[in-house]
Amino acid sequence: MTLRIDRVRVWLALLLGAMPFVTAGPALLAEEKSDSTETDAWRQDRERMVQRQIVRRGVEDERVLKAMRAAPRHHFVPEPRRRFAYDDRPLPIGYGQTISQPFIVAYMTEAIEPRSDFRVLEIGAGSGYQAAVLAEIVSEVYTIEIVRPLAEWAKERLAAADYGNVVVKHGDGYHGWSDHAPFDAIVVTAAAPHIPPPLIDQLRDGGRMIIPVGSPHLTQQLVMVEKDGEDVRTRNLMPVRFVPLTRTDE
Amino acid sequence: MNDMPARGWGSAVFLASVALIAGQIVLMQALAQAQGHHFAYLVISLALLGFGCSGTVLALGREWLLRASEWLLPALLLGTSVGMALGLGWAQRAAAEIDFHLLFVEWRPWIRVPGVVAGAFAPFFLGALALGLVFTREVERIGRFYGANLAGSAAGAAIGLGVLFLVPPERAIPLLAMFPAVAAWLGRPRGTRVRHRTFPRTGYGWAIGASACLLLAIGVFLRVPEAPMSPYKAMQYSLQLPDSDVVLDRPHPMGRLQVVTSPALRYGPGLSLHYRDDIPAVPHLYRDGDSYGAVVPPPRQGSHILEASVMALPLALRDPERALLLHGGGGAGAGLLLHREIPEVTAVEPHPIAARLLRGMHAPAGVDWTVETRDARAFLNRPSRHYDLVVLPVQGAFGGGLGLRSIQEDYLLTVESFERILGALREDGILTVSVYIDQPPRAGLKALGLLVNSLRAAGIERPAEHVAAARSWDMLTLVASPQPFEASDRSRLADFTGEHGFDRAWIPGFGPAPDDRRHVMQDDRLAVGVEAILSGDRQAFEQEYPFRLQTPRDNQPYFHQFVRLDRLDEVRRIFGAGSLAFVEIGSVVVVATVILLGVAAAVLICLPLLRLGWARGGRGPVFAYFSAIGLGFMFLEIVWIQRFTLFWGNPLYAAAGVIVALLCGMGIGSALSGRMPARPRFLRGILGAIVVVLLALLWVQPAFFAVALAWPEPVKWATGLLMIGIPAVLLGFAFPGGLRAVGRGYPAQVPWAWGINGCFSVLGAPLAAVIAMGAGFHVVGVSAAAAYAVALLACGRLRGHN
Repeated sequence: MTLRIDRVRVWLALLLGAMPFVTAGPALLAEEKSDSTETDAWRQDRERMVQRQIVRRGVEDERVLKAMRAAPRHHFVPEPRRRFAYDDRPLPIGYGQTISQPFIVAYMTEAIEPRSDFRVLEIGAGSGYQAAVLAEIVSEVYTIEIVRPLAEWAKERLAAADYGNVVVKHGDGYHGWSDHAPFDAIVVTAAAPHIPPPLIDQLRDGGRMIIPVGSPHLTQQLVMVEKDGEDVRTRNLMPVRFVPLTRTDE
Repeated sequence: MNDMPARGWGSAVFLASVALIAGQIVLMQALAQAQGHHFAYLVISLALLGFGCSGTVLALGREWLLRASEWLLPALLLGTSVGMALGLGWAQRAAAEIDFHLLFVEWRPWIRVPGVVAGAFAPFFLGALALGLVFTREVERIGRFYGANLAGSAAGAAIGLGVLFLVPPERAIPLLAMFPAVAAWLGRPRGTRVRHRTFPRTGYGWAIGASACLLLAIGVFLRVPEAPMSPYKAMQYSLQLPDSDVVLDRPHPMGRLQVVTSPALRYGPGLSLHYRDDIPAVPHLYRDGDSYGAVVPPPRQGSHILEASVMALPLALRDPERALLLHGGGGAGAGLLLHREIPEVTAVEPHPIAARLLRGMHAPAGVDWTVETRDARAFLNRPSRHYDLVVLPVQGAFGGGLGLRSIQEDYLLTVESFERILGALREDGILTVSVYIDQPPRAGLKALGLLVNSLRAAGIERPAEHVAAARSWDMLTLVASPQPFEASDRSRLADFTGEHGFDRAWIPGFGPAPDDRRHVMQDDRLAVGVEAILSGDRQAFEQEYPFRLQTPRDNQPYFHQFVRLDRLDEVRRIFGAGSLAFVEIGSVVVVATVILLGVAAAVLICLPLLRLGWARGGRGPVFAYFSAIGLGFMFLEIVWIQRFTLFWGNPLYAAAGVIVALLCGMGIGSALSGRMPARPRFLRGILGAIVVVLLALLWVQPAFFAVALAWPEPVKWATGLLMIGIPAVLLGFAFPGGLRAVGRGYPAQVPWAWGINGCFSVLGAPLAAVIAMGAGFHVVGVSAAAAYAVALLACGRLRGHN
């Protein structure tokens, strides 16, 4: 019996002794990547993300893959969740908003078939990441965010990452940005119950808009809108689900 | 044990029963508001297991509990009061914080669930324990106390509904907590023979205890903050929009109605993509936080937004003079009809507050605008005139919802209902229903099938000539007429769809337009399905289709139920593994509730056997009898609520009427049972009569309703109440009669019997829903009679050889 108690004590001591290493280990490792600046570790994570989450799911456009490899996603994720930046999921960024799952960003970018001379409007800047991916490919990106602190965050992050071809505005994206219209493509990254007419209006003939439409708090369909003069056609691409977040972290 | 002061205890039982039933009703509303009806269903069912659990505790600690019963009864009632004042409110708050949808994906949200259930469980358990204690101790006078229990329950049902007219549920809960506090005072120990030292010997102590509980309840009532709401509620989304404001907030038992405004809250269902004007920001209505429509009155100038919606299709085909809008909701549809200056527009809206808002909608000069505050089915039972156009409410959600309504009966969307609508149309009148397009298509196909079946039931042989359909990128609009559509209608349909850029899903007498491919869906089976239902091999298509398209009837009124058990694998393939809960969460919840309750009931029923022993002593008959009458009663209550909803026309008041009449009748029966001979033959006779009466009513009621439907409302209510109340007197004999028999044969099993009855009564509700979804309400009714037949077989052996 004594022997058993002693063994228990030894195990307990070992466990308690090992505790600092067990808890500090991941923290030390994380610290290496916690800085938002580019490092090899982040680059490797990004490459892995592109291979495992994006190429494997069928995104083939080389320009999009290159942009996904280049845009530093971790730079657009707020600090407490930065280490999950390249995980296969959306992440909360505060104010009830999310940074979309990497695959969705790539998929939406590929769907508009971007070219280097494109002028693109993005509705719902959020963290600024989608704008950064677009800015890797096209010449001009205009992005609108309804939540002022997020608009400021996106502006600051995009500037810090040297995305000089992105213009951020705080406002209601429903009205689009008529000063810079028409746009070759419009990417809407916030769920809407319907397709806003001003956005169709500001789309160039032959232009494409991708928009998640449906119940904003439950499920949506990713819809491709194609404009050909007066004729406007739609194509449902895939179901998507945006999980609403409480605004406690505001 | 001294002789019990029966008068005080009778009143205490009455008041405690008032609180427990009213508490259930109010908590149901509170949880529905916080999270949704599906969640409320689950939590309430688990909380009500408190009744079964009380039987288990009583069976295990019978002697001690009976010895302490004089002070324990009021102490338990004080606990019930505190539990209601604090526990139920806390359960509502905690429920709002649970991410219900993630319960099916992650384990973390489950951490909060036991807390919610515990908060809701505590008062019901304590209250049920108090009632069980009285029944166990007073088994010879059970009829009197069970009668008080039933009468209190009937009063509680009325009070629970009544209080919701006045205050929101979070404020109603502390008001109800006062009842058990007063009950504790009435049930306090009398005389000087109370020996327990830790509890007061005199009435003063109990008066202080009861007063403290009353003060606590008043304090909670005065200080209770606004109840939170799940972020999944549509209203929460609207409240996050800039400058949003709640401009109207009214409590009501049919659901709390709130109106939200925001400059970014817009409304444009089925809108043409050719529409380039601004979509106006309009107030939105929410019932218990769920969308109830938008307020879109006729504009002072310009066109109404819905003119550019596919929903305007019937107005492109006809120029109606008299239109009827069923379940008008916020009034967007009414706004369009008024804007078109149709000479006579009638809206039928069951929610009185929504109806009042509709009534306030400005009608242009020369338009006769009427709003009827009634359920549509009640209105359709006796339509006073014929209409050129009948508009049904919009169904579904774009892309498909989560199946929240899959267990909700919808008597407007059944063949019988559509037959009445077709009967209320003029010769060339039009019935229209718009459905959001889901993926894969389900709701639209089911609505079309329903239309076709109803046309056939109305004697129309070639429905394909009587139906037209158009669709936008998000919505399918169906129209049907008793007369076949003509060439001029086909050309109007082409003009309308061409002008707005819609697709023609069905050209009457022709088929779908093959050149209309403006809006391409990921899953193209809508076109295939429309063609199969209208002109192809419908049966083969429906058999092959992975979703349930069976046409709903009054016996199985589940329009929103689509999942087929035999095709679950395919559903999993379509939506991904683990996603079934997101396709039809309502059905998943009801089945999960049955499983959870079944397991919990098995544990609660088996646990006392550790003490009572597993064999001998009439365990089988006691179990069979009390489980059968528990299930039978619940099945019967649910079938009658379904039937009287159709007869009386309003689901809420029908439920209240059935419960009150049933409990009052049973209360009388229970009170009479004490004066009746305690011979098994008598109980057998009563149970035999119950089986015969129930079976007879199952077949007689529909024929009676068909005749009586046109009678004046007060007569309908009076005859209906008698039709429930009289047989209920017989039902009132079953529980006290059985308990008395057990009390004489196996007294130690009295609390066990109470627990079994409690467990099976709770299990009965979700089980009835599962049976009704699978086989229809008629089978639930037959099951109720069968359950009483089982009780009949078991009752002879309740007394054993003692």
